[in-house]
Amino acid sequence: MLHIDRYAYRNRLYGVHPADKVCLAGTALFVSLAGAPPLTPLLVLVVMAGATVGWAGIPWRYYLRLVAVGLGFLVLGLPAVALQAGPAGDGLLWGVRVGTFFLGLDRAGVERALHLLVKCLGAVSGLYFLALTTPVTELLRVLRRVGFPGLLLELMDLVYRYLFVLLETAGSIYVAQAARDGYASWGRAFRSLGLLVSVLFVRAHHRALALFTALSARGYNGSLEVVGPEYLSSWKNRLAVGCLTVGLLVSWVLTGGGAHVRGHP
Amino acid sequence: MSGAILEALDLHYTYPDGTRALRGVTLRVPEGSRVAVLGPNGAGKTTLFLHLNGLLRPRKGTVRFAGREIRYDRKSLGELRRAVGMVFQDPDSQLFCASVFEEVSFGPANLGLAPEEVRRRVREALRATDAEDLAERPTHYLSYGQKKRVCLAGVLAMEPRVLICDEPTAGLDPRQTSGLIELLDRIARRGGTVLIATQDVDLAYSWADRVVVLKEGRVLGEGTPTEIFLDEDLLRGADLTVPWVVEVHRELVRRGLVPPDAPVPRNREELFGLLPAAEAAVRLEV
Repeated sequence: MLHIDRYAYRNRLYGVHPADKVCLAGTALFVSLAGAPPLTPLLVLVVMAGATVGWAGIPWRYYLRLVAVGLGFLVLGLPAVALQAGPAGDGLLWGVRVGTFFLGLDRAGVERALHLLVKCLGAVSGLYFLALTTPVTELLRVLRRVGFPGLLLELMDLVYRYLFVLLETAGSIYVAQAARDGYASWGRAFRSLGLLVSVLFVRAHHRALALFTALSARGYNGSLEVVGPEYLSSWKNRLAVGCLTVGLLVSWVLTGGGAHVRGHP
Repeated sequence: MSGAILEALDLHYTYPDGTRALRGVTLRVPEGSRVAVLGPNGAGKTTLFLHLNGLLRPRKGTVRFAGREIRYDRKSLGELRRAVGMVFQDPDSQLFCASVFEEVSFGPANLGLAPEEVRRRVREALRATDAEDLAERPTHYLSYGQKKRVCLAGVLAMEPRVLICDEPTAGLDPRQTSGLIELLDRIARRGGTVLIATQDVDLAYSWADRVVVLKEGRVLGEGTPTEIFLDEDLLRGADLTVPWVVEVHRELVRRGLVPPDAPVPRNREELFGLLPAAEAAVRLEV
């Protein structure tokens, strides 16, 4: 989580206009999910992985690890999709008898599961691209520009900012406790952790009060108005992002995207 | 009294938990001056500052800005806070925004300026605090010293007439400290009024035009640095130490290496300026 945040500020696409990156990631998401044959999301996966690793310069080892995390969740969910239960055992590629029922895999189920798998991977690769190349602050700016409700944006910004303060506080309390053997045994660890959490609540409350005072000192009157810097969009970057976006859309149309929605069970 | 931009008259304040933080503080800040408020922890320095920009309302006593008693309605407070900027001690309680640029833009944006003007002021404030290269960095990856500079930029961007800094050098390393003092000097030279709270007697002695000593919510002494720091009873009563420049000078005078009638040096440079004669004296004796 924190690594993703660091990469978001230190990748080769840092200077690219966030709206462009949102556009590309959104297209990847759409193309993967909007009823295309399995080939299309696979193509998306390849293109977006290439963009993230090759273009943005995220180390491939780290990228693979992230994909593996996503894959882990998917694999856990897939049996529910692939497994069939029914009174008849014929037509199953593999099955077991449970009482009067048969539980097993048939061809359609496996196909459905694999299709779902590549769809999800394609979509995830789009989101990873966005998460690894675009800082949260810039995403918030894009959302602000498209008219996202201000209150939610303020909350997101505050949560994001103070998440790090909270982690730091928790970290230093933990070290201070561990230094006095607070985590030497299970019992003590539980007690220390409980203390840590309760202290954290109190500190968070104090911090909120201090923040309110500090904001008031700068003329806070109910809304956190801020102004972002202006982006100098480079035409080269915009063109590259545009080409990728159009490429994804074209491949979607060519592989029969959209039409597949009706054709698929 | 003419020339005072900020005045506090007989301020009393008790916190809801019963702590009597101020017990009749009277303070006068001349326009364009550099004032250091000195005192141990719990002396009431921060509480006093919170009164000067209307964040706390005194139980008794008044605060005057530019000769007029401040009022506590929304509009008057807005005007006061535009003119009196406050930098807090803990940067994490001031920096609310994950983006440095947006953080600094908060103050000027609240003044209702056009976005272009806000951006101009942000860039200028970042330049003034040597934080230009931080504009694109996320707030949470800044070091403590960098955070302090961004806090200062966030207040400077409002272009206040008076800058109040609560313990600006606390937690900074020596290099960062001298950088910060230089910055405050620059602001003061441009005609700004700067008020700092500090426990650093050396800083207060060398930097300030006026020193106010607080203890237990009362003003123990107020005057020029020389008046304050040559008054040993006052220093002892306020649990303060003698600045090293004064101490070394006193010792040099005692040993007869420096003439006793010369004015007491204000800083390192002035002290060193007295030394060549002393060197000659040593050589003569040997």
